[in-house]
Amino acid sequence: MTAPLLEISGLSIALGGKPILNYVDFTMQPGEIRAIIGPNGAGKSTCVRCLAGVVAGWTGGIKLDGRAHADLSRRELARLVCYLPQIGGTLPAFSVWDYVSMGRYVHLGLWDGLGARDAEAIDRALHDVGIGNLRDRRLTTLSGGERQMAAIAAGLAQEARLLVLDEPATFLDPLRQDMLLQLVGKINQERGVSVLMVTHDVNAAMLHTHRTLALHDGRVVYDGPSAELRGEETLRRIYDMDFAFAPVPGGHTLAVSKRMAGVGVEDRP
Amino acid sequence: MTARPRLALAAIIVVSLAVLFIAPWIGLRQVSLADVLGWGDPLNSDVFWKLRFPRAVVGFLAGCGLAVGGAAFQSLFRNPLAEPFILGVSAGASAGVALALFTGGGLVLGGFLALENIFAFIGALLAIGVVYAISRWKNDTSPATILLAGVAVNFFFSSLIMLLQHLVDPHNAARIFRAMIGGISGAGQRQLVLALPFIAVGVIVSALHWRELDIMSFGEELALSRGVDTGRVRRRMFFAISLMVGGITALCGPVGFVGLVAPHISRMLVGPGHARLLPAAGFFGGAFLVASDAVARMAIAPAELPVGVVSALCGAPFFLWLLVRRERG
Repeated sequence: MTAPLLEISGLSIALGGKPILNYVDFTMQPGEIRAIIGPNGAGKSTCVRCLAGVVAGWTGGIKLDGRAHADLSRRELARLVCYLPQIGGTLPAFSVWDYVSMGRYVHLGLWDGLGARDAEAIDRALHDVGIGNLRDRRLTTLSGGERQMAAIAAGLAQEARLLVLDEPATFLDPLRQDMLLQLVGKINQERGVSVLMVTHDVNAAMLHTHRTLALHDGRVVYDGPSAELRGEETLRRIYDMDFAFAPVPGGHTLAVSKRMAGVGVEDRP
Repeated sequence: MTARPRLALAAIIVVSLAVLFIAPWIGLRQVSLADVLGWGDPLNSDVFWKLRFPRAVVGFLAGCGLAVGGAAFQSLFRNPLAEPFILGVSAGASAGVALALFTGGGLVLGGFLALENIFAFIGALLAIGVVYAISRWKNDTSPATILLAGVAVNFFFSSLIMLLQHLVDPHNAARIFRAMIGGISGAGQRQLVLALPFIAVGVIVSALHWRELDIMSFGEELALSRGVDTGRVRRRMFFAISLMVGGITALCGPVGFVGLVAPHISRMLVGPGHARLLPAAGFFGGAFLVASDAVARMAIAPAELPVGVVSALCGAPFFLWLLVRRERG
């Protein structure tokens, strides 16, 4: 077995005096797709933000590719991990191509211009994400879904080994949520990039990731194969609510809220 | 990208240089081409080469520095209204100059470093440190917070200047008063040599960080994830821009709104990328201040207005327009 890409042990942090994470442990192997699920306020985002180096003040151990987080420079970290924060607010009016080219920052020295190798990485990222047609559009003219795709393309151009996505499907319609999950699978297959994805979509976690980590009040309540999430007891422990399981064509099973299952507007009291 | 921004940058450079070379011809004393080339009246030749041209160059460099500083601030604070004057950096530098004059002033180290410059630098750095600390502490870089912090810093340093004026003898009080009003009327070759290193540091350090500024205009978290050491970039930039604004303020007093108007119009013309925005804003700002100074010289000739008055008369309405447009959008 190869060395783990990411090893987190005893990760704890308090923000504003409130404990957010309590001794979180988990490990990711190279090539793995892992979901982090859990209710609001469970510490999912904080967890990935710690390892991405945008939140300081945590205790415990984070090792990337066998090296301690504290020993990595900002540039070394960015070659290993690319974190895509939830995007929102106003963006500067750069073109999509210029924006994606910023992903190459970590590969460029002070006096380097973008070389052929960089242009190739940018074009490949645009192509893989399927937004080659948007390359000259300004970010300010993009829809929410297009922005998300541009953000992922910029992340791919960075060519880090671990891509960390924080609720990437938030602003996407069902079709684009599907496309996003397909894209994650494709990136993982074709590029061998590992993906760590914070999500609220239990079914996406169950069906489209290898392993899942579930947090509840800053503690790990599940860490195992995503397929084994299916179980009323497991999901109740994570979300404090009851799930029912419904078979769908293709032999898979989806989790739905038991309380809301079979309840329509007209059935409500 | 496309040819349009490149063309716009080229046009800005050409027009700005034209302004720089045309301004010295304007004045009460008519200067002919023969005078300038040294074949005509020697007095006219001196007026052109020893008075007006150095003054235009000083104005150009000062405007260039303020505009580049404004463009950098707007990306570092992710705030379109950030500008050295509005954030109180110029006021901090002015208070430093006033303190230097209060303590005697005029001390020149190694022939080119005046006490005014050192105190102006410290005042500028203090001002920006306070504004940044407030935005950091509140975890908020919204225009409102930054502007309010700037207002407070401005008031504090203005009061400090008034206090110093109150405490000194009438002669030095008048010197402080003149320094606070500013203007580049006395600027000659010596002043140029005094200010050049400061402006050069600010402009060069900003230019070397164009790529980081591009990425940081998307916000702290994204910049960190791209591998930008944002803390180090910010420290370097604040240091260099404080040095530059200190040098410019010591030379021509607090000059406002160049750092706001020039980057904004430049951004409309060449886009948000700093590889083009910084040079465009620098040239535009230089030409803007040279033109303001020409107006300052001619408006009530033979008396002169301080250049800061002219630039603020143009810039303040522009600032209000930006504010209103933002509120609506």
